[in-house]
Amino acid sequence: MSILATDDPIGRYRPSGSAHDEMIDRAGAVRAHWAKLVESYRALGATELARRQDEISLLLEQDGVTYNVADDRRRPHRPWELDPLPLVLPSDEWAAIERGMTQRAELLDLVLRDVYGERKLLRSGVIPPELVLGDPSFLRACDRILLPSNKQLVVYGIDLTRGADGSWKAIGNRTQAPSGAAYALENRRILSRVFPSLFRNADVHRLAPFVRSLRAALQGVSPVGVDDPSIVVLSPGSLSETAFEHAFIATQLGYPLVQGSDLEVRDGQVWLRSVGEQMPVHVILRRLDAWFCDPLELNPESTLGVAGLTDACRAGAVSVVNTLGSGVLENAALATRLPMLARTILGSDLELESVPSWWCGDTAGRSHVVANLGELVLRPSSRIAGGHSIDTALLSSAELEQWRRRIEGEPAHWVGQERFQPTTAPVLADATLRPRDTVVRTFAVARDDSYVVMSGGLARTANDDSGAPIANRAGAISKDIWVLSSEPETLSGFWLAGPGQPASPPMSTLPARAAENLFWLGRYAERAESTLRLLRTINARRDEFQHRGASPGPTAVAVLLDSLTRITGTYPGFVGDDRAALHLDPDDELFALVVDESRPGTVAHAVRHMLDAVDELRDQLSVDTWLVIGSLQRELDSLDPPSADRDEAVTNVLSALLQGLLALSGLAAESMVRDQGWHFMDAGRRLERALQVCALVGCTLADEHDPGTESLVVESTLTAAESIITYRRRYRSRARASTVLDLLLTDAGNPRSLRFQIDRLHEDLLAIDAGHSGTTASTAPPLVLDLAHMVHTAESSLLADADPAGRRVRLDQLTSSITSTLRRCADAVGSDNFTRFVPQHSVVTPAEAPERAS
Amino acid sequence: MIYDVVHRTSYTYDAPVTASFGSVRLLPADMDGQRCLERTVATSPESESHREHTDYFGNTAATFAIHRSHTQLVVTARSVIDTSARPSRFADTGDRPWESFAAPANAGFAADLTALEYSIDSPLVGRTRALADYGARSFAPERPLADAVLDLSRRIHTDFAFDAKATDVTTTLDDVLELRKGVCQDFAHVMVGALRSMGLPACYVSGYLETDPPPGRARLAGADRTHAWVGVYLGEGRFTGVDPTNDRLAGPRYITTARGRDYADVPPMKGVIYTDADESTLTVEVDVAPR
Repeated sequence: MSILATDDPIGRYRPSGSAHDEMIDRAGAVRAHWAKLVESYRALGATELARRQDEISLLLEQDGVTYNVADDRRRPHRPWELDPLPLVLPSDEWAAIERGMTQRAELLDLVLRDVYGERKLLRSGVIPPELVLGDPSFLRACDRILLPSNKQLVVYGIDLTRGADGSWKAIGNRTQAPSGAAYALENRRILSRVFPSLFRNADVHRLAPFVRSLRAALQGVSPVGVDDPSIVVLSPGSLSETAFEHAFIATQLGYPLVQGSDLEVRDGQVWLRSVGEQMPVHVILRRLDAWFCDPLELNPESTLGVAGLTDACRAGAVSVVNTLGSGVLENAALATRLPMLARTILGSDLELESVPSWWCGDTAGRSHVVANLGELVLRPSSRIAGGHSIDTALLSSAELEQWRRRIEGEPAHWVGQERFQPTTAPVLADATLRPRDTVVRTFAVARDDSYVVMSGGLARTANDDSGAPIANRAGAISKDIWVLSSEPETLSGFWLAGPGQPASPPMSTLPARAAENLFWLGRYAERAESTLRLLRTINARRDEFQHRGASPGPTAVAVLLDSLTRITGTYPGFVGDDRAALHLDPDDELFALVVDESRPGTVAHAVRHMLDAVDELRDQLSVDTWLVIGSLQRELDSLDPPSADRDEAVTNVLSALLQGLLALSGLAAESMVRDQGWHFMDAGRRLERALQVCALVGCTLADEHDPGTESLVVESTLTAAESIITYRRRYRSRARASTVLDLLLTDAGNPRSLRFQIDRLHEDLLAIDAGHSGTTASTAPPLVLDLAHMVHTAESSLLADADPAGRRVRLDQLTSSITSTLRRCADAVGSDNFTRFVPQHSVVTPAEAPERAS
Repeated sequence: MIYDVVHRTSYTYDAPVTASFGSVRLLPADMDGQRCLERTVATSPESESHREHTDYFGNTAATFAIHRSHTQLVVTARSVIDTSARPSRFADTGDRPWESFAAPANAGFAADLTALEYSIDSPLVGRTRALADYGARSFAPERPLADAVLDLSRRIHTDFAFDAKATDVTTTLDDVLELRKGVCQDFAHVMVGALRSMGLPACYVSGYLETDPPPGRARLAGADRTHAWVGVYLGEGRFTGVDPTNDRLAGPRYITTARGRDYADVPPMKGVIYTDADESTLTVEVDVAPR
């Protein structure tokens, strides 16, 4: 019994004093709606709970779930943290939140329509005009831009918590580009996998209908005259804090994930730059703050946006969701007006109140804030005006005086908010449940005349016990929210309810940027693989012949080291001025060729660029990809700083990396649909492998050596080209250059041969071309035909012949001309299909133009 | 007076531009008493899409987009404007004490978004202590608005020297106040800022001014300039234009193209281009020809 008691994860949980606690009531008893779960956690025990926590971390890592921290360029991806315990809420309580949220969304929608339309609410003073006019999020360029739907506010996010009295209060409105929904979906996916029976037995409301509602809402804002809109998700890119979310939501919705540079305004219409033909874009779900969306009319400095987007909205050719001007609804001062707005506009009381706040822009509010300055939290009215919340209770009296003066100087910029003790929920930290401050974010989307609210959301809890504000940047721990249904739900109830949307044909357009990243993913993956195979081969040879004097072994090693520098292009390396010294002690250079990320030609450089390409392709690759990708980065990181036995560590890492890369090509072969995207990736892989084989053969076999050396070099070449077994089986003889060239250059059946790569490349390019609309002729396929001709007519026995000086001149000529044709072909694939990057500049003419040039 | 205005803006680049997007405010509207009889804007190369809209401030804005490779862009705006009804005197209401036009005394402003828009801080013109101190000397209690405003304009004209090299985009308004140098845009900003600091709503106006040729010389086509001055808001949508650069009212020899809170709202032309070019050369020719 005693073992059981200490293993009880719940028994020792004590809420911390004044706050409301989600699980335990004031009397110390487990709240009724938690009872079933608490029973299950007791049955599981603390040890098992901790084990499941580890499982959660592993699954999140495998799914590649991160929250990026922009200021850490080297390791920008911070793992997402999910607590094993959900936040549990009874159905009726959630229903009240839903009602309150719907009402707030409806109010904010009317405000949005008004401030960019007639501005009656401002003129009548219901909303003080300065509150809106003084907010930088009020975008005058967006005046009169309206969506062709009932609702202007399409997606609404809210932050909630509850006070000591147990009532829910709104802390903030998110209307610009509310984030978090995808994290909520992912949290649910993970928890339901780690606690399958717990989840099944709890009758939890599902989140999936929310995605369907969002899809319907986006289709619902389709421009006038467009029945089947094409929709994209606009992201600032893979370095954004919430890049995971953007890709995940795009995948869930089934819409392409694009960046500003993928879109173009032409003839008043937005187009997606795609492979083949341009695709018109009718609806954009933006995950980018409006300010960055259009360098022409919003912010000339932004390179993330689409020039002319505002005018395309104005023309009604595209609907941006939420509207570009919607950020003004996040104004903290506006929240103080909602009760009055509810009474004035809706004739009813506000159901879901905000945490009590006072706007300093009006006299009464200002005097209240100034009089109570040491007890309030000061918040900037506008989120983008800059500045953070200040807890004035932590300020000295001199600082308070400064703030008083500052508020008097710019009163409209500040809102005083009551200091609010958020609700606490149990969080598993160091194998113990601790009460942590908790806030809830949930979402509503427009549907016809009203809103539908997600049946759940994202809870975030403080990551320590300090009482500091909860922020993802600071490393908050997230929780799933389980809204318990009062009666079991039937699946049919979800999928058949509501207005049906006609199924659209699947989107077959491949954005040009995605094609380019797939192509480079193929190239870098292959480059990493061949480089590390070569390094492994050389290491093995060195181990074999270390510390032996003049003999074929060391000469062969020297040939291989020279070749290594030439193949990888890592000059001066083993062929530079200090050649002799480096050949005597090659360890540091060999190590650098594995780990030096900044040096082109190294394994780390190839892996880094491959991972960067993968980051850009989150919406294109399967979930399993993350299983593989995560391990590659970890392996490379393990070599920095180098351990005591560096050589052994390198050997292990090279093996592990090779496994990862093989797994990746396995996924490409077995888990990817053979669509255009796949052909781009395969074309990249084939081109790179062809280049690598040419370089390998051209360098290692450039000169004829004495038979002993020759045989060792040739064997190493076969090993590096992963063809040694085939060779031995087929030729059963000592390795000879002519037969090696047969196998590596001209054999049609060897998947490592040059000919095999060229034949496959040809197929890939034909498949890519089939997707083109055919206005201009592609330039890459003719080059592949040239290549095929060169390879098909090559005579291995002639190539193996050396001149009197021992040089294989014909081989050198052939590999050189094949290499240059391959490079031209790679460039041609780019110019045929990818968007050339052209720098963006902003110009503005001065008020008083310069004198005419004379 | 009726004017034929031609405003030609040319950019020459040292490498091809693959795409060029522009937004121009060069089309005078019926405002400030003037009547616009004709107006067009054209680009070379020809724009593939051309749209016009009335912006938030009531100006006509035109947008264009060119998707052909080019190394020179020429934007030509032509208009015919009758300015005879532009006021040459300060409005009669200017006899009233200035305080009656200023927030918070003027209760009528509460429901007048124009008044509010032009009296709060804008991106380039914030109300500062220095501007308030500078302005206050012209605003003795109960002084008639017209007197006070014209006094402020005269002081700026006297105190500030025209110097095209003294200021750039990084110069703040307080810097200008300290330097006492600048161009018409700076003088207009100083005046707008001083008025706002007194609680008076004022806007920035961009447009043209008919200039006289040097004595004894013939009028030279294309030698005129774009110009900027100040609109003092009098309520009910009415403004009086005052030009501190030349210390006079913006009367019938002035043509308004756009008004905004400050220069940032109404540059004559702004654009986004895509190019490898590092250098561009801008030339502007303005011809304000009386008929």
